[in-house]
Amino acid sequence: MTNTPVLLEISNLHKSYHAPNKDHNWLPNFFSTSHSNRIKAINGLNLSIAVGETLCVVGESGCGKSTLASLVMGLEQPDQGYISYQGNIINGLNHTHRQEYHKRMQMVFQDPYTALNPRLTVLHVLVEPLLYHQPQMKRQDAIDQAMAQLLAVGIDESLAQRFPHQLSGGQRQRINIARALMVCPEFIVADEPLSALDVSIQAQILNLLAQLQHQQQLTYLIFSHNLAVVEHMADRVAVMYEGQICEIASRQKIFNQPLHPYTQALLAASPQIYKNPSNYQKLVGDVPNRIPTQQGCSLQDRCPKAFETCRHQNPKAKEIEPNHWLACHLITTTRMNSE
Amino acid sequence: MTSPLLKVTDLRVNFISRWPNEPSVDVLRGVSFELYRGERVALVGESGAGKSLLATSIIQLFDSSARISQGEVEFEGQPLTQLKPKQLRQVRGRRIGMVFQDPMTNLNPTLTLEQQLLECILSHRRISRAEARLVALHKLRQVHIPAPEARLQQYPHQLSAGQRQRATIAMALALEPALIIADEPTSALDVTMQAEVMSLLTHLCHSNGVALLLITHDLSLVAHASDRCLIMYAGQIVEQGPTHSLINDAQHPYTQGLIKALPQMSAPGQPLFQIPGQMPTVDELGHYCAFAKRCEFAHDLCWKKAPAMPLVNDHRASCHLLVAPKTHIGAKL
Repeated sequence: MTNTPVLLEISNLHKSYHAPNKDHNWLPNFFSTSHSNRIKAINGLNLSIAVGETLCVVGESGCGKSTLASLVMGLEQPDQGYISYQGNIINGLNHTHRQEYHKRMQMVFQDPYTALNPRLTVLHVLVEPLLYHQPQMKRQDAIDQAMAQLLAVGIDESLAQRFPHQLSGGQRQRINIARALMVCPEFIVADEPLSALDVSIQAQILNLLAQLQHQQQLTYLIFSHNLAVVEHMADRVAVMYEGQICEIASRQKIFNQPLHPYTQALLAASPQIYKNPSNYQKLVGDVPNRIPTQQGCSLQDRCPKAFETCRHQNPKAKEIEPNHWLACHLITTTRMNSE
Repeated sequence: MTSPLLKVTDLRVNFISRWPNEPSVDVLRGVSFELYRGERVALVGESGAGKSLLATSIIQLFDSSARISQGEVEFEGQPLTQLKPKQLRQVRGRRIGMVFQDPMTNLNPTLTLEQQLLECILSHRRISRAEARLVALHKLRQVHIPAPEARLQQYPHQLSAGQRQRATIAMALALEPALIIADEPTSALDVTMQAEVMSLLTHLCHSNGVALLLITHDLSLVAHASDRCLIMYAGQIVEQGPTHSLINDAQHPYTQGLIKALPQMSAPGQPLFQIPGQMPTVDELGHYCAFAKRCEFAHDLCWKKAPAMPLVNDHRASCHLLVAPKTHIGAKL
């Protein structure tokens, strides 16, 4: 993993949004200047993705997964920090300069029912990005490429003139994937690509994603909360909580020897068909209100093992083993003491 | 054995077409099952299999174009299909509680929790508002909602998704029903919330003797959260039996396919098993096995007549292969 080149690097990324002002609802947002009224969606996040790997990001809803996806794709601008793609910083670029990266990175959205324009036929949906990025291209060539792409994702050519409502959920998700692949990207960001699908269709899409990655040497950044899916397809897994990465390691490490209490709790909560769920301790309570008013680790109120240091200091990510990063006082302090 | 709490016999529900010349189509095609007190039964199937329609047919809460054409639903010895609307309202909510899928939309956003809970309690019981409020508080405590007094004054948008779903469960529980029908209660929730909601429902079944009909498409959830399992395909139950034996020794090719298609069933990086094709639409169904088109073991008989439901080991599966020569079942799980 270390010798393959890095495709995307995210460093110390911050993104916050205005929280609705509870006391003065009538005040417009720009009056509220205090920082306590901002929800920190992404809070100092570091991540790097190597060429050709599949990195899965897991976390509960509200932990900032979708915000991270939009930041990476340039749909939102970060407050602080940078995102670099093959060594070039890509956040803050203007529209013209960003254009080049739009071709190289594409996104697959969560809900196949709303991600397609209901007024456009399948063919139109596929041809549009191609003609946008290459305006000089002949229309017939674009149509030929779209037809070839349809075959590649396993959709019959006869469906090309159909509208999205005439397709099933699985077919629509295939069209979504085909659309992302039309401009021959290197990097695919998929935000919960399977959560709206049935088990049998989920299997078809998982196989398709694996096959496409193999054929076109794609790099995937996949956001999911389904751990079974993640275990099946990830090379590396990043566990996200409250806008930060709390543990990142290879798939085997995360599923066999998770160290962070949050990772352990996620594994304990996810049902397995033939095995009992792991015996790790579960979390207590709900996802906290996310306007930060307290110091220390963001997990402190839910963590069964929280101790004094967790109340004061926000844990920093440390590499405790090669390629295994962890942000938890419990593990890092006990390890340091034992050494 | 004691008499079942809920007994559904050969239930057929069809939708009446708006056009006079078009025939009405059967969507539930002869569903029979029983449910006993304190039992947790899971109803599993792909979307479009008719799971939710079966749930709503039990309490006749379906669309006005749907109609029970045949069959019987017996609940606590009462034939529900023959009740008048007024009598039926005494059963709905009071004896059979319902938990719907999406916690974001199933509570009224313009009413506080107190207003919604009290409306539910007072419409069925002749007690004072103060007493009803105590009942509501007790139920909210039962579903582990922190600070229930404060929560009662809040609107649904002030609660988290997990709390909202627990409030819905509290509402379903408010009148101490004998049966709770939960239609995908956790599919909009995270795994951590799902674990919490499911352990709550399980606890209620064990301690209060409430029966649970859990509708879901997640087989790994079913493995831990149910005692018995019904697999539904194209408006029929194709396999039913104790969850443990059904999951470890699935007989119907569809059930086997569903289990094999789970991501955890293949080694990471290996292609997953996939059931080819998709579920037939109602007008494609005939008097033969509905799964024949997608089944890898299908033979002549499968296209000629609908299979019976023989007892295999300790569960039932409707497949010709189980009656006809067993040699057809080549690859089992």
